[in-house]
Amino acid sequence: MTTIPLWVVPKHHADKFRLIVNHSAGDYSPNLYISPDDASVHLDTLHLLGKALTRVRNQHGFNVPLVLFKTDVSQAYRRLPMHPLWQLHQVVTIQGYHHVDNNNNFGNRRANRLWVTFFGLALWNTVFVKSILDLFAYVDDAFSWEFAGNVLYYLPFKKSLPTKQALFLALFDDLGIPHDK
Amino acid sequence: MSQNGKASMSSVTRLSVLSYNTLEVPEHQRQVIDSCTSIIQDFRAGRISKPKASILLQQCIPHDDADENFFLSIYEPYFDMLNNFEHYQKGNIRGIGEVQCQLGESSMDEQNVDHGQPADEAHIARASKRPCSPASDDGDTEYEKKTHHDYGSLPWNEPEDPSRFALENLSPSLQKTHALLENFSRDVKQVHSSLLNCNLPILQFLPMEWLNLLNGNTADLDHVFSNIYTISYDTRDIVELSKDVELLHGSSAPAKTIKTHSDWVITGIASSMLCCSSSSIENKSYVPIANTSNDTSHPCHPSCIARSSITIKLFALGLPSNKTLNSPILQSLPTFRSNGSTIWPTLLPVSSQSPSLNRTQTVDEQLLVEDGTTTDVLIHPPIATTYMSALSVPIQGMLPAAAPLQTRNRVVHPNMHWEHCPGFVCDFVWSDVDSQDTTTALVSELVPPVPQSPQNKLLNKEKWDIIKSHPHLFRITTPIDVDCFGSLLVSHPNQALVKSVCKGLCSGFWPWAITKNLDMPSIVDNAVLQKVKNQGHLNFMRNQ
Repeated sequence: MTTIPLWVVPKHHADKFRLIVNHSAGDYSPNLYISPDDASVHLDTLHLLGKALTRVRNQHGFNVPLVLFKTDVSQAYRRLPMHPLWQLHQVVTIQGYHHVDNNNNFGNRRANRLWVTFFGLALWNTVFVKSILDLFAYVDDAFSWEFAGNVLYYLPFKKSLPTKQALFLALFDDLGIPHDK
Repeated sequence: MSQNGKASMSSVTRLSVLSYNTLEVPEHQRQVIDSCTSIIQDFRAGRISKPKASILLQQCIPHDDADENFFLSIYEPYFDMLNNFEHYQKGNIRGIGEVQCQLGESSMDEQNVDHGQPADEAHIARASKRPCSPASDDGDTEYEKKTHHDYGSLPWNEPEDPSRFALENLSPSLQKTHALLENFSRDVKQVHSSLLNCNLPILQFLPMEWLNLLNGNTADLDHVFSNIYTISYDTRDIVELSKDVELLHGSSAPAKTIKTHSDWVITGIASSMLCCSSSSIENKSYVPIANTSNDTSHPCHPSCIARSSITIKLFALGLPSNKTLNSPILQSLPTFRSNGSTIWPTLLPVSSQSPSLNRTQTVDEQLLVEDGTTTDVLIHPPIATTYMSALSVPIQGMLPAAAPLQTRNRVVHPNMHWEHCPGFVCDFVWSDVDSQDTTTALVSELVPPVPQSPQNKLLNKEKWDIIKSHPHLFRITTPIDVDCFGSLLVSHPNQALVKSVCKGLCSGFWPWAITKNLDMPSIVDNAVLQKVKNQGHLNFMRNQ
C-alpha cells in the first residue's frame, strides 16, 4: 500500500481551492513504475476548428452566421475507475484517516492518456455513427460549430442549444457521462 | 474522495432530453420525441429521404384539425432540422458539382479537339450532369470586387487554347520526352527491367523510384536521401596491385550526411526558396534533363519538375548527367544551407557551370542572413565538407524570399504572414493549408488497446487478500453505462481497443505500470510529506 501526499492550492481568478495529488513524490511513488515514454496523446487544436470553419465559409459563404460551442465533461479523469490492485497505490490521508482513491487521478502519469483514449471512442461514435461532424476535443473540452439558427431545446438545461451540442449532450446522457453547464 | 454525483441520472431524464418547453414529459409524449429523433437520425444517416422523413414525422406526431398550431409548434423544429441538414449536404454536393462541371468542360474540349466530336454531342453528353449554379459564385464575385483582382486574366481561368496542347508546338526537348514516355508506357515493366540491367551508370535510385519516373511521375528524393536508402562505399573492396601493395578502394564514413527527414526538409526548403528566387531556372533546368535522358535513362516529365521543387533544384544546378551520384567528381557539388544559400567548392570555377548555375551564384551573393544555422546539409551523403556556420556569410539584411518564415523553431507557410503575428495569437491564425487532419476520433482507430491488470494472482496474493477482505474500500465506481458504450461502438474498426476500454470500465484500468519483480515494501507512507496546516485547506480536503 502506498499513501500519496496531498496539497491544496488556490485557483487562479476564483475564490476556490484545487486539490493536488502528487503521485511522483517520495520513495516508491506510483509514477516510478510507469514509463515516461509514449505518454503523449493527440489533442485537437484550434487549427482543426479553423480549418473546419474555413471549409464551411467556402461552402456556405461568408455571411452565414455561425456559432461556436464548447462542452466540458465534469471531473473527466475521475469518471474512470482504476483497478483494485492499483487503488492500493493511491491511498490518501486526510487528518489521520486513510481513504482509498478508487478513480483515475490527475497526478497519475498516464491519467491523461486513459481519459483521451476513452473520450476518443465516445467522439468516434458521435462523429461517425451519430453524424455530428467536425466535433473536436481538447482533453475534456469538446468543441465545434453550428449554424446560428440551428438550435434544439435541451431539457436538463432548460434552454435551447446549438443542435450539434444538444445531440452531443444527449449522447453524454445516454452514456452516463456527466457534463458541466 | 469525491465520487460521482450524477451517476444515478435516471433513465427517464436521459430519454427526455430533447423536448419543447415541457418541464415534465408524459410517457406518450416521450415516445413521440424518441420517434421523431430516430426519424431525424435516419434522415441524417441517409436511410430515408426527406419527403419520407417528413411524412413519418407527420404520422408520428399526434394531432387533430382543431389544434393545428400545437401540431406545427412540434413539427416545425423537426422539419427545420431536415432542411438544415439538407442545406449542409447540398453545400458539399455543390462544391463537388462545380469541380466536376469544370473538369467535364475541360475534358470535353480536349475530346472535341482530339477527335473532332461535334459540339452538340458534347452538349448532350454533359446534360446529365448537374449544371453550375450562378448563385454559387456570388461569394467569389463579392470577393473579387473587394480585392480588385482580375481573376479572368489568371492563366488557369483563361479560355483554353486547343492549339496549346498540340505536340508540334512544344519545344524539341519536350517533344523528345513526350516520345520517350510514350515509348515507356507501352510496357513499363519491361523498360524498368531493361533499365536496371543496363551497364550504364544510372542514378542509384530505388527500383520503385525508377518505376515512378518511367511512369511520368516524380521520384521521392526523400526516400533516396534518408535512411531508407543509404549510399555507402564498400570498404572491403581491396585490390592487390603487387605483392606488397594493396589498393583499398573506398573512403571513410562521411562526416555529414542527410540522415533524417528533417535534414532533408531543410534542404528541400532551401532549394524551393532558391527556385522561387530564380524564376528562369525551371525552364532552363528541363533542357539538360530531356537532352540527356538517353544517356542516363532518367526521363522526367515537365509536370514532374513542376511538382517537385527538390527535383528542380537538383537538375537546375546543372548536375552532370553522365556521372552517377557516387562518382568522385561530385565532391565538387554545392553545399546547401538551410537559409537558402549555396556554397560552391572552389575546385570548380563558376564559369564552368551551366547558365543556371551562374544565376544561382548571383542569388547566393544576394542572400542575406539574419540568424545563424546549426547544420550544413549536403546533397549527397558520402561527401564530407567543412562545417560552416551561416554567420560567416556577409550580413546584408534579409530578402523576403531568401529564407522560410519562422516563428521560433517552427517553419510556417509563407502565405500566412506569421511574421506579423505575435506568438500569443498564433493559434488563431488559420490557413487553408493547415496540414493537421487527424482528430481525436480518428486516432481512436489506430491506438493500441489499453493494458490489462497483472493476471498472475499468485504474485499479488497478499494484495488480493487485502482487497477481498475490504471490498467496501476497493470499489469500481463509474457513472458510465458500459453496456451502452459498447453497443454504440460495435462498428468501430479498432475492436481490440473498444473491448479493452469496456473491460477497464468494468474491472478498473491499469495505467501501464510495471510492478512485477520489484522490491517494494508492503507499506509506503509518502503522506508524511504532506504539510497542510491551514484550517481552510484542511476543511477543503475533508470535503473532497
